[in-house]
Amino acid sequence: MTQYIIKRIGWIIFNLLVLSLIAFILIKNVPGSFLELQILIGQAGTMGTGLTISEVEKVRGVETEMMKRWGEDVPLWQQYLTFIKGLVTLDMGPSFRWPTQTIEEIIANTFPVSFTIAILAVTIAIIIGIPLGVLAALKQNSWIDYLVSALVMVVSAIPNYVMAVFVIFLFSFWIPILPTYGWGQPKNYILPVLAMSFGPIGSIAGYMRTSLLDALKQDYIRTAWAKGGTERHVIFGHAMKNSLIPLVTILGPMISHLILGTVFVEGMFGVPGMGQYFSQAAGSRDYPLMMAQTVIFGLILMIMNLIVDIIYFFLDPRIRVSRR
Amino acid sequence: MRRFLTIILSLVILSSTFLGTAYAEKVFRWSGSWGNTWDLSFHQGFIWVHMMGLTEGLIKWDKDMNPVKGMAESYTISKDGTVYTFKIRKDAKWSNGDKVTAYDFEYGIKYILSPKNGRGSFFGGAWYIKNAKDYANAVISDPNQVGIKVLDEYTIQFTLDGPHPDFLTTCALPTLYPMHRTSIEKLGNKAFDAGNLVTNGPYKLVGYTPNVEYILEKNPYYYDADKVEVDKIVGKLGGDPFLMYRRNEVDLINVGAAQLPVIEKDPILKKELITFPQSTVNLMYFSYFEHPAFDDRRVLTALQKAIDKEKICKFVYRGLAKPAYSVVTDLIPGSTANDPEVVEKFRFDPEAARKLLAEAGYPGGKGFPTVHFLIHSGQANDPLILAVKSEWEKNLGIKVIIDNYEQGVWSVKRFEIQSEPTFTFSGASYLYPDPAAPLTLNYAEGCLVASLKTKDLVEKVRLEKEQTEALKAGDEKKASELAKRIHNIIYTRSTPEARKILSLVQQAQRTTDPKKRLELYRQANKIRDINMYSSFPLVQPMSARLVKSNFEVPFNKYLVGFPVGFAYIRTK
Repeated sequence: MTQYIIKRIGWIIFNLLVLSLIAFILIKNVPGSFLELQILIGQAGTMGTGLTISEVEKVRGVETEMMKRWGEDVPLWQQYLTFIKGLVTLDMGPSFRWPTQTIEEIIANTFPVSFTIAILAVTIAIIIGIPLGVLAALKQNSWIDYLVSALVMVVSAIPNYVMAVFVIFLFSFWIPILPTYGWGQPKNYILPVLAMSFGPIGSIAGYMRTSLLDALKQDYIRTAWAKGGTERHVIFGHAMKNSLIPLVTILGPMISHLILGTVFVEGMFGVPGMGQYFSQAAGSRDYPLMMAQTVIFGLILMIMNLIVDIIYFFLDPRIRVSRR
Repeated sequence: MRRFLTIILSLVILSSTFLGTAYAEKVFRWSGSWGNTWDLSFHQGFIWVHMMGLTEGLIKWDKDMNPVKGMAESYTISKDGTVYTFKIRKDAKWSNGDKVTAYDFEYGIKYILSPKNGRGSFFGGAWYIKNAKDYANAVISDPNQVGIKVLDEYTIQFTLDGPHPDFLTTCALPTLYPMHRTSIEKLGNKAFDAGNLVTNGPYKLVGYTPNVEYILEKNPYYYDADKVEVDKIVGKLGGDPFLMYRRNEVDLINVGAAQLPVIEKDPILKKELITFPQSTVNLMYFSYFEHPAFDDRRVLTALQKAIDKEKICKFVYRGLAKPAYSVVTDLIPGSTANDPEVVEKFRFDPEAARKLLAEAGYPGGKGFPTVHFLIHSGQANDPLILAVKSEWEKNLGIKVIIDNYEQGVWSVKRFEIQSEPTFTFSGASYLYPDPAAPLTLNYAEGCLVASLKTKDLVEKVRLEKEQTEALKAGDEKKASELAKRIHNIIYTRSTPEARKILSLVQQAQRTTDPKKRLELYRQANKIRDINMYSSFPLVQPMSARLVKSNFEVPFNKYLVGFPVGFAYIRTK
């Protein structure tokens, strides 16, 4: 097992290097730059004092102190190596868009927030989704099954920002007990976590239902019934354990996406998480932050997949046998 | 027992009396600002928050937008109007108790101009200072060549590149603000963090959570602190403002046309709605392309006359806008936005528009090139753009295609030479009520360029790109030759009317007599409006705000409807 984990970590490092190289080439080739967008913002609303085209051309040659390490005067390979060095030494320099914060500070401040929200949302989704899925599977083709399936479809299809408005109306207007916006108190977590958990509840319940139905049709379940096992013993002792394996597979990517993909929910509730920073980085051509976000997202995804594989190892004896 | 009860009762009465008279902190919460850094050299929303309460210039605006003395105790202007000398008030202090000196102004202005720092393109009055523009654009590298001189600890002198009577007003704008040198030199970038930021205005920054909120508290060292009524300002940077307002989580929000029907139905909200004119014009303008149709005044007039601006204001903006016939709003002195001749020339008349287009050789839009609207993702839902497209297609029979790009890509595309006629859309706001605010020398020179035939404009852009390449390659000789050719195109092929605008603006800048100066600007505005060149004014939007009835907020018509200053907010 240890050897397997070391090997996987080696692959993670290699994959991250490849990912960062591809991201670097793509990012440097996207039209537009931070400086041009900064000029654009300056011009908006100040037409009379804005720059003319020839001045824009002039300004293109001017670099601010923080932009020097990403400057045009250094060859691309050198810029890439500077980024890698920064990544390894945890000194990636300041963000362009947030010039008073370094990339490491941004990640250190926002990752715990996003991670906590994501874990809470997934926990709620597991607590509600698994029993719903099990119930639907056990009552297959009954009105309960139809109701759960319909609910699963609805909550999976509605985007989380629509759910955000729904929970605001529910808990801030109809039952006015929670604030719509703000951060710093435990009650501020409730609405964003709820808004983010609806989608995962749908996915988890759906997966659980299908997976359990599949498991219930397997020969070993028939054998367990034939041996005179009780309902509780057969379903929870045999079928459930195996039907959890496909579910574990989706949990890794689900958490990664919840950590970074919650831009709207963060904006709506005032959550100081990673999502908004990273979406704004792309829009403002904040190269250092864009690069860091790509690597972080890749890293989270790969670590989650590694954790899933390790959990697999303990859940499924066949995997243990095949890796011996 | 009786004694015990008496003591308890007395304590209750005493504590309730104490609670009743205890000072209740006055907090004003608002939604509608944005920003990423409190560094003044970055041009984004927080520089306006500095202006509203954190930092104060030599001059400030009173609640009615009149320029009054701020950090300056007195000032003198030389006879030729090019040298301004300010005496700084002795009781001016930074939020850490340090005294505000002339050196802080020199440091702050040069910091903002320095090409090493944030590079905001808006420099306002700072560009009037001798050599300031060249220093900002890295043409010269020595900051001592910039016309700012500290005469003593409390006296600072500015030498301008010409007489600019509006320089005094621009001293209220953030590009001429002081900065606290000691903290910046000691802490670097961290000097701009909440808690570290040292300010000289009525408030100081005590909290900031990026993308969430910022908190300002009264600055006890501010010389006029006694007159500041609100103790704390909370700026919310996200959320759904309308929901937050209805939930009583904010006291001020911006509202748009979409929310008006809901507000109209609610008697409380209706009472709290404030609308006021705004010094902004939404307009569309040419990109760089070559097509003879767009050199023909008849075509340009037809395109304008085919847009029913009244209808757009009534239905698209629900009355929160009025038709614009000038790129300069009627809030700016010298504007000819309401001049009958200007309005009549571009008033909606589809019949006349079709006739003009037919006379130009495009009857019913036949043979007219496809027009492109180059927009960015932020404009994708702007109903004004769709309305113009619909008006042109319906009234003139021409085809319009909307090309929607991501903002960064758009910022590059708009400077490229287009293969087909292309327009872009923007808003123009003028930051202070002076005729020079829109008609800068920069803008007047721009009029020469805007009056060029499309072929000449494209040639000029091509030469500019060659010039940039030559400069990058270090070929100064070639760059200089190209500069001469560009100059030649601008000054020999531009229209006489455009040259007249430049001449009028130059005259106005040299004129100290206010009446004469205003008349010169008015003439320049009218020539520009009648000949229109490459910008089509569309509408002049109004600001709409919801303000809780317990607050009285004076608004700034010249700064997209922000409060003039947090220090002027009163409770009712």
